[in-house]
Amino acid sequence: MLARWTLLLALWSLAGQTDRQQEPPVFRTEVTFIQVDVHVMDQDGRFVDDLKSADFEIFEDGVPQTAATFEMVDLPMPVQLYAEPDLPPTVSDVVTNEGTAEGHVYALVLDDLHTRPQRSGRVRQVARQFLELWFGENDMAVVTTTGGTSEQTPFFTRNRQLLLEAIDKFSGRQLRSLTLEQIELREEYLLGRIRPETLALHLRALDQEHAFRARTTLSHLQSMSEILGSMEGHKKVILFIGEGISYDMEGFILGESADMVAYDTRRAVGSAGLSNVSFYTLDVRGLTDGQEDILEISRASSGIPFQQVLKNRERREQGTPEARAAQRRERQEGSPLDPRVRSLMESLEIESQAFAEEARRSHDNLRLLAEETGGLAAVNQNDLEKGLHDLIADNRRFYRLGYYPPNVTADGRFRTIEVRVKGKDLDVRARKGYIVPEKGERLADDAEDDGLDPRLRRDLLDRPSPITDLPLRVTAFPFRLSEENYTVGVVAECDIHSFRFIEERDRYKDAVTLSAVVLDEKGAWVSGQKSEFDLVLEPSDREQMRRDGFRALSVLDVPPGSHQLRVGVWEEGAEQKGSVYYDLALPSSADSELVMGGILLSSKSEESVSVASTRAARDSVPFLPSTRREFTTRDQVLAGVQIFPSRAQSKEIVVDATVRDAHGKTVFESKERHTFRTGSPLLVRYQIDLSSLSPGPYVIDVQARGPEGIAQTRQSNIFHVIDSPFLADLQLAPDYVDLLRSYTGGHINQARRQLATWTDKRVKSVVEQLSASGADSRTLRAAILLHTELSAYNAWGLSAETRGLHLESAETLLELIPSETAFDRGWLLTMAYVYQGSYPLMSLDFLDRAERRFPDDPEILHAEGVTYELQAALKGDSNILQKAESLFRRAIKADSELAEAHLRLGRVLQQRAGNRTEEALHELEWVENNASDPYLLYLANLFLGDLHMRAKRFDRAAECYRAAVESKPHWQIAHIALSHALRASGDRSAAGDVMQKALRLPVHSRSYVDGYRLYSLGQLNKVPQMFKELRQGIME
Amino acid sequence: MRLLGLAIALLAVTGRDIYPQEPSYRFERRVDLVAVDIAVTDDGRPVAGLTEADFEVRDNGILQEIDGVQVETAPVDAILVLDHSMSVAGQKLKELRAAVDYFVAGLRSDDRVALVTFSGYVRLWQDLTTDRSVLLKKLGRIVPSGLTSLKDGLYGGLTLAKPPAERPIVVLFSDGLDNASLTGESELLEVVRESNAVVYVVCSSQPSLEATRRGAYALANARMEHERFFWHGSSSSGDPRKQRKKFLRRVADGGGGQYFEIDDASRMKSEFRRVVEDIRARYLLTYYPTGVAESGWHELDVKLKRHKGELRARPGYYVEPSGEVGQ
Repeated sequence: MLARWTLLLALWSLAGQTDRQQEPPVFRTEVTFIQVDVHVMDQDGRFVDDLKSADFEIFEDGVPQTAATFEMVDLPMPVQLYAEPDLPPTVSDVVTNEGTAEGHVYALVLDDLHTRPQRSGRVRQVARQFLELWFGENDMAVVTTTGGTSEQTPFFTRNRQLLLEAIDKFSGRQLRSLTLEQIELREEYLLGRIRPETLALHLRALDQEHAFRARTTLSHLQSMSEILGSMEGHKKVILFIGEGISYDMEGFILGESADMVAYDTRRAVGSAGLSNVSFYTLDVRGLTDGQEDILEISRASSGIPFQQVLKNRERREQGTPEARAAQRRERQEGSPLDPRVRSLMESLEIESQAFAEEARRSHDNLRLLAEETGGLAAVNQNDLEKGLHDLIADNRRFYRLGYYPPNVTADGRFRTIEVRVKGKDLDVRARKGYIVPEKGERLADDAEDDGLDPRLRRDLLDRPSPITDLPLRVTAFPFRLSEENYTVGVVAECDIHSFRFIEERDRYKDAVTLSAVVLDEKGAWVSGQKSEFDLVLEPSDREQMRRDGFRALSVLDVPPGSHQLRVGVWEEGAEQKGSVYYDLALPSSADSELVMGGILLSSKSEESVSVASTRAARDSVPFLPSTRREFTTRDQVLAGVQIFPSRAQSKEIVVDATVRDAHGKTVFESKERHTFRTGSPLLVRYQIDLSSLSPGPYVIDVQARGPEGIAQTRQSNIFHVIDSPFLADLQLAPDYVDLLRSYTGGHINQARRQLATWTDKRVKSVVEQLSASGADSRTLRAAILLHTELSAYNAWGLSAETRGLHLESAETLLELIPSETAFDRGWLLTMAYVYQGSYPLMSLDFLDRAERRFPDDPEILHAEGVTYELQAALKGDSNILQKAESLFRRAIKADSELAEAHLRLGRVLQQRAGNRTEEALHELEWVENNASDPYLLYLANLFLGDLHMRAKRFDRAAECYRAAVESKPHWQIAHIALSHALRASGDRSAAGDVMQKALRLPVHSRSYVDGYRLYSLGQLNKVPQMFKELRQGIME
Repeated sequence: MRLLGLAIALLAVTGRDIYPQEPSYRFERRVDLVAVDIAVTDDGRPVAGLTEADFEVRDNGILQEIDGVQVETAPVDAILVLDHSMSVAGQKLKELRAAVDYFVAGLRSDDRVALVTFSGYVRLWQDLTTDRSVLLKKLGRIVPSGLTSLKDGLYGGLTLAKPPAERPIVVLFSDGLDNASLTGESELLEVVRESNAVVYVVCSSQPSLEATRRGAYALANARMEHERFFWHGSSSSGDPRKQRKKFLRRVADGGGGQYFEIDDASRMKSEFRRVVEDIRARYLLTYYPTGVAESGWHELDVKLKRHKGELRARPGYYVEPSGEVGQ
């Protein structure tokens, strides 16, 4: 009896913990689009990388679906920049929300409920190995445990160190093996120590306990899937590490719980499916058939020596008097046991088999979770390092298909997904389905008056990942330490090109709000601060800010401890926001005699940059860092370190500073003695000249120690020197070289902005200098592209003359590099796209040059067709339209899969005189049936709708417009067209509703351009991508 | 008294009890009350002090008994539909803001106002509200850009002018030629005719220097400013500005409102003031229609009996055919 109560108490105690920690928000679910990641391997296990959209078939619940999107994802393996041997990896003190959408998001779920304490080290080792080797620069992760103990990171973070610390606290708390407990109960029963009904009761309690653990784990996996589903990221992965759930879902004898566990498994898998999350499962036992557990578990946890187990077994086999008596009684009176209990008892007779069976169940469970979600399972293998490598490699190359599901009812039903590759004998792996959970309500908005901006409050407090609409960079630094609190400065910086100023009396007005909130390790509120800045800028100030960016400073008090600082910026004019999450570790002054507050970095060139802040905040900060960590060789790094004498023991200290390059070579060194003034911190400054440094990353390391070397403190930081080796020896104007370095070093906007401030005269002069310098092709390509970008984009307030000058410069330099290369073709096509709508003759000139160098190139023919199509619309000339038709047909002949050519041919035929409607329908329907790009599908349906409207087939027109709305739910024109079709078909009420919906679409967003408008602009929308590809081709 | 709009009125249910097992039941729609918004002027000046006895109303030719006439007492729902394409950039936008400010100040505290703008897209900035400060703040954030989808904008504004909007007034401002709408002229005129909103049009014919300056840089957009690409493109010939004027006059007439044209942006405020004055001087005449079919188009003929003067009212109203709802 005692044993049973103990079990029940254990259950209650777990239930309490779970209730507390399982209060994740219930997400309102609206499913309009399903993404499936598909891994396709050949017979040798190699990834097949030459498949096209048409090769795939998708089925939902057995019904074929049309892929609306298709892409092959191919990411490089993450590489650790370098490792400092005697320091923990240096983490930059600047955090940005840029690149968040490109990284992977990992949840490391450590299954403490199903890991035995003696294997905790193995779990820690595997998790650490993953982070140290494979965690990429843009990746985010969280560490959680299934039992919900406090040893976990409370937030998603990019800070590897914080994640490692959480991993190090892990310890398993798996109960004894279920099989072992059952075997012991069987022995007790056979020895006549417990009655049949007591045996059944104990077995039931055991079952419930293990089922509870399994369900808690599965429920945690489901919650994590939902949270990951709400985050941005290229690929979302749950890395599930432990020994696996060994609960027998198929067969337990008294199994009321078995169905529940099976149901929870389905839900965990279904939620992962909905969120496009994959489970990668790792069994830390390595190669196992469960036999070693007999020894280990019997000794360690049951208290019964293995020899005793063996003796018991011998005794049973030989037959003890008690067992013989029990068997005799059973024969005479019939078995008093429930037949299901009896069946279980029989299955335990051969113990090695029972243990092997338990091991198999846990393997199967880990495999099931992985396979159903399109992931991989590393089970029953000793080489877990290889398992991890496979996992990472698997995550870097795959196909991503998207489709619009036919039934989006939130009914909690599991929809199956099957992906096939037509006619090829390949191994295809993708998730097997998803669940649209029944609708839940969002948690009530506890509108606490905490001073945060209401437009940012919920985002800052509830969102697991930052908002990326407004790119933002943040650094935070403690600069004052009182007895209880640090005062922390927060510097946030963003580019203002997307700001919308109101022009009034030659001044530019806008408003920016900076909100900062600090949460503790458990995610609870610690402190918050809101700063509002009204920008009223003279034109020259605005130009300055366009070059330097907007920079704001805020200060807030924070107690020592590990926190997450969440910083959000709201820009009023364009109603845009961005946020950044920053991990802040503030050591307690009681821990050390000396405390150092981080190495603050800025540069000489940034000294004049203005900072938005209150005067009090600005005056209180002894050293104002910037958020830039890339500096050119013409600049000087300014570094500042504050040291706090927390116990005021040591008056004199020695401060050593070094800067080392990626190979550990010291490039800067300083050793200084300083004396503390009573009660005030010490600020040590450094000025580091970069002119002799090679491009690359550098680590600055500062150590402070008391006179006897007893009290010590140390900090490090990282910065990059920008350069491009191929520009090193150029005899050009140094600032022009700097521009080209910035541009090729990935600082595209910065370079473009700076060049835009140059006078025409100066531009002419540097281009002449470059033409005569004998520079290599890579340098010339960089310059060509930079000048081309300035000519192509209508930005930076450049006059038409200046833009013409930049185009002329690019053309001059283009003559110096070989033609008939991919760069040459790409450049000519890009130029044709730029001028297609505005200066068609210029566009045709570029295309003529391209066609001579690359005859019968389908993209060039297509671009010519588009140029004529636009011109025909402008002039209303049917002869020009005929030229367009002919060119589209030639493009299709050269590449029959060129979907946009089919679309435009259909549109041109629709407008041609004569009865070409059937031909137009044929082309547009080809696009509808074969294209995967939602943009093309949107247009095809829009044009088909127009055809039907003209033929007064209003219902069919409405159908097409509806399909267009489904392809692009946020584009307005299809809504307006649908409203008119509904009105024409007599449904005025629905027409009004659709139009009202159209009015409320987020069309004012910065990135909104309706595809219909894009179509009429030709191929202008392709220009940014073309530039990106050309930039990638600079170094080739 | 909460006035009911024109077309949709009460939903009356026949039969006392409705049980799901009943074989069928139906909702019947009937026109409860018709309200006609009328402006009366004599030599351009509003005529005050008129009563029921001064009007005669015929609905599809049948003389109706007038239930009541109100002036100024009924609150209005004003829907501002403003051009925010590139052509209003600069001084014109400043004048427009000042004019709207003046217009809103002229409304009464229980009048509601909404803000819709159009350029390459149509945006509802603010649904009907009595909070003027919110609306004006949003007006201050408008940044001119892109194309002019005038007809789409007006179509969008008119969809707001249905119940529960009361005594809806739509005020359209534009200075450009429509170069981006999907909505055609005949479609829009039909919508205006069927709507119960009074439509005022303020049109500026002054070219914008700012727009011209910026337009020079706007590459592809510059072309798009002047040419429509699809659907209702350059099908008609003649001077587009004259055609626009003719069309917008028809819009104002169809909506029972007025058309104002200005050639100088500084006159914007005075024209908006005239709109407010006209709204304030209007009579709201109500009657329960008798002897006419319920659904379909109702031709209205309103006359003055004892006074001379010009009378502006909607040419009619439209009632959707009643639909059957049920099993």
